[in-house]
Amino acid sequence: MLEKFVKKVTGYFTSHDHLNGKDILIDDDVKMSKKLDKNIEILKASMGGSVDFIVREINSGDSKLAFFYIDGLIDSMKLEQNILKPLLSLENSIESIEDLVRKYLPSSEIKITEKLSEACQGFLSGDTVIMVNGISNSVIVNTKGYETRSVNDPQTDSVIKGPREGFIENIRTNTALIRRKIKDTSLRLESFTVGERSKTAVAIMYIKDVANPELIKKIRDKINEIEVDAIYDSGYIQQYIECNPGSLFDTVGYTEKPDIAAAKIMEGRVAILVDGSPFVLTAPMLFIESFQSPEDYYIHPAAATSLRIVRFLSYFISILALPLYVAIATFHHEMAPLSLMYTMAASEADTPFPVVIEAVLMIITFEILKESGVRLPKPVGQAVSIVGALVIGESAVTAGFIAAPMVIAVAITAVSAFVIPTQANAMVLLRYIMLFLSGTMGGFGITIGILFFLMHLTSLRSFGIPYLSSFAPYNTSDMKDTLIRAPLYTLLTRPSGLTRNNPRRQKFKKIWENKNEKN
Amino acid sequence: MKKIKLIPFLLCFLLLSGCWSSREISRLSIVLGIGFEKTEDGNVEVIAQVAVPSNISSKNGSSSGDKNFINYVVKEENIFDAVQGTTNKSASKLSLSHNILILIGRKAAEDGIYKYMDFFIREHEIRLNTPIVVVDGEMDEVLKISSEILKVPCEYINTLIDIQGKSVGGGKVRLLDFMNHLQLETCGYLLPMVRIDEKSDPPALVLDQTAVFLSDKMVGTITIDTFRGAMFVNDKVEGGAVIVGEDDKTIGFKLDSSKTKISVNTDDDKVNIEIKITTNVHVHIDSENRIKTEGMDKTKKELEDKIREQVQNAIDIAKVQGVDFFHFGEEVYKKNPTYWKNIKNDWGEIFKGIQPTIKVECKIEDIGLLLETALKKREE
Repeated sequence: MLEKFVKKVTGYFTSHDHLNGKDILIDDDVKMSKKLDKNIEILKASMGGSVDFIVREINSGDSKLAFFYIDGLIDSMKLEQNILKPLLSLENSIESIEDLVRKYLPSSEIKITEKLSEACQGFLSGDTVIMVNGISNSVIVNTKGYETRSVNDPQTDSVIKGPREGFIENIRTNTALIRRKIKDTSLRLESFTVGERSKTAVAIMYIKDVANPELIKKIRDKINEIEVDAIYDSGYIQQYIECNPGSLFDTVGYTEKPDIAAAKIMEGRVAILVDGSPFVLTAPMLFIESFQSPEDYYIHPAAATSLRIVRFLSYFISILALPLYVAIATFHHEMAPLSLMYTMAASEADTPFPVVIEAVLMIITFEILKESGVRLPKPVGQAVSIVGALVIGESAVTAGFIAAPMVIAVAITAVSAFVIPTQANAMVLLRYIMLFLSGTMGGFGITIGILFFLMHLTSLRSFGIPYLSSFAPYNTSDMKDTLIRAPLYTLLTRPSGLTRNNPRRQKFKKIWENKNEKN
Repeated sequence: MKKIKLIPFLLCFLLLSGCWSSREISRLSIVLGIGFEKTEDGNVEVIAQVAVPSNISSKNGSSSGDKNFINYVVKEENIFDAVQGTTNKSASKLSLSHNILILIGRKAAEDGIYKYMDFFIREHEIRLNTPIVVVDGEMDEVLKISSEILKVPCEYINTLIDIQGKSVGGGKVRLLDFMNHLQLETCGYLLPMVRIDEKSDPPALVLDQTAVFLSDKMVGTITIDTFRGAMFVNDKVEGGAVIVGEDDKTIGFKLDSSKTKISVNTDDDKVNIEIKITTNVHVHIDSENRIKTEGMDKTKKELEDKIREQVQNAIDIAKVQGVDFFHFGEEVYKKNPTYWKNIKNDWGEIFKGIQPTIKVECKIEDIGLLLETALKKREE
């Protein structure tokens, strides 16, 4: 039944493609003709008369030349200085394309191709293609000049102490940002083109002698396997290469900051950059990474440790505060101290709904407020927050709709969810599940839920590495960077499992003794 | 695919159970104290004191008209029916898990309490650390009296017991202690007894007497002084004061700590008991400068005599009542079980004849912030 339906749908789409295909489609291996006119004709036909596709023909010396570019994607200064100026002043005829490149083109980034499809991709990504009559090669000259955002403070991963630059939408800038952090010859950059129509540039970066070769192969294969018409963001790649797509938990990490990406590459991970996305993916991703902030490594270890503990605490509060409140209020009254019992009973007495319904209503209301706050234009956002705070916080309680302790439980749940942004999406669903379990079965349900998720987490793997690594399977040396963050000079090895051939990060040095000697 | 099909079925199982055994907090009666008393016609009367949370926790302070608690009184043939009756009366499920006090009426106590207490021991919701108290007088009246700060009578009584524990001796008997007491070889134990203080206005409660129990029956009462002596023997004195000297020449000592060791010797086929009390005290009142003028040793001697006298008094009274609430019999049993087997049945008589040696050793650790009295008398 389902198969039939799928066939019908896919059949529809393929036939639809044919309807549109009146214009000429250029296959990958079509070569250029020697005649310039014919080439122009083919390219014009394939672009179907798009107005931003510019073809400019000139006669210089004895040769007839043509430039192809897309208006808006190029920097006209570059075109004029690097191409038009030298080519208009040609004196001799051009023998070969190499001749043209060597003698006349001052541009630093030049590519020669005989394939029409490559030429197309050249001008479609902002370069200028030069063709000469009588020569079956073309030159692609870099004239990219489209508008990009400048490198500035990223919205996510913000830190008080630490670098403030963030990735932007341009992949080349992003790779450069990482290169600037690791000036090592073995930092490798491999590039791919993903998306049959979008032809999005994707790159992976890793350190050759640190990263596990199997991991690199796995990621390379997974990216090559992607067959889709367009890629708009690294989130697409993330979902295509994820090892366990059915799981609530992300097994591919993302970051918006070069220092984080560089640190992860140094630990033996692979960074995946996608053109058009300021988010760089890192794989494999372990559960503990959600609780690590770059700032942990820039401040005193004791302070970092206390922050880590706060993060773990808020993770559990965010998932369990509300379910526990519901469980205590409906099943396990004896767990509440007497004075707390008075408060809870007094405030729940006048509300019309059972506690669990109240909790679900409140958490849904919060999700609505959060979503509207994110999507709405900024000036309206303020109005939403005022309405939200007043209606939900104040009026619902005074009107006797919701008990005051419930508002507190929801508030602490909501606030602590933002402490671990990478787990936030999984936490929302987790919370609903736990709430349902605690509402139906109380503390017993919570226990079942926790056990189920623990089982799931221990069986989960990210590119072959156990998701709960260093907790399960337990590894003492990796525990130095989990709940506690040990001083940097004690973190001698890279996280185990990530790297096979080069686990040592630094040599052990008694830095405190050296200091005494100097004094 | 098969797994996915299974999910709706599993969800159904979850929903089928519903909210089984769930109890909404708003439909619950929080019982703070539960008590029983024997009525004239031999039935049992149960009083359940239920909190009114909205009045207790209201921030503005409840107006005088609003009550913080409701007492449900039900008379039935047996205790189970009576407790059930209070449930019916309050029209909500009684939650005994926050119960902080079990009250025993004096008439029920004199009649034998085990047939009632069995219910509380078996009930799983009642905590084993709930204190037990005997009520002298009308329980219904006692459970209406509260203090300005502790507005629920049960909390008030509970606090009175705690205060007594600090100032006189730890007489608090929890449900678990009670169960242990029932297992005692000598069968004698004490329970705090509360009554209305007639002299006080507004009405207040006092714990000036202690009920003496033999097995599950109350056989008499002892005064607070006797109780103090008994607590010294039982090693349950935590603090409080000892006043020595006559009239206006008194010295007040405050106890910092007290340790009692009881050693039993049954060698010559006679029970010899030695009670050794070691206390650390500091001087609290010495307005007449007696420590300076008479010397530390003399006042210390006086203090030791005073404590010895208290203990001796308590033992004498216990002998008169014939109840070994010091658990001397237990000590004999622990020391020499075979010997205890022989004398077990005669213990009541033997106890009346024993003459324990009482050794008291006090250590005055501190005389306060004054070396001698601050009052300089003018020479005449």
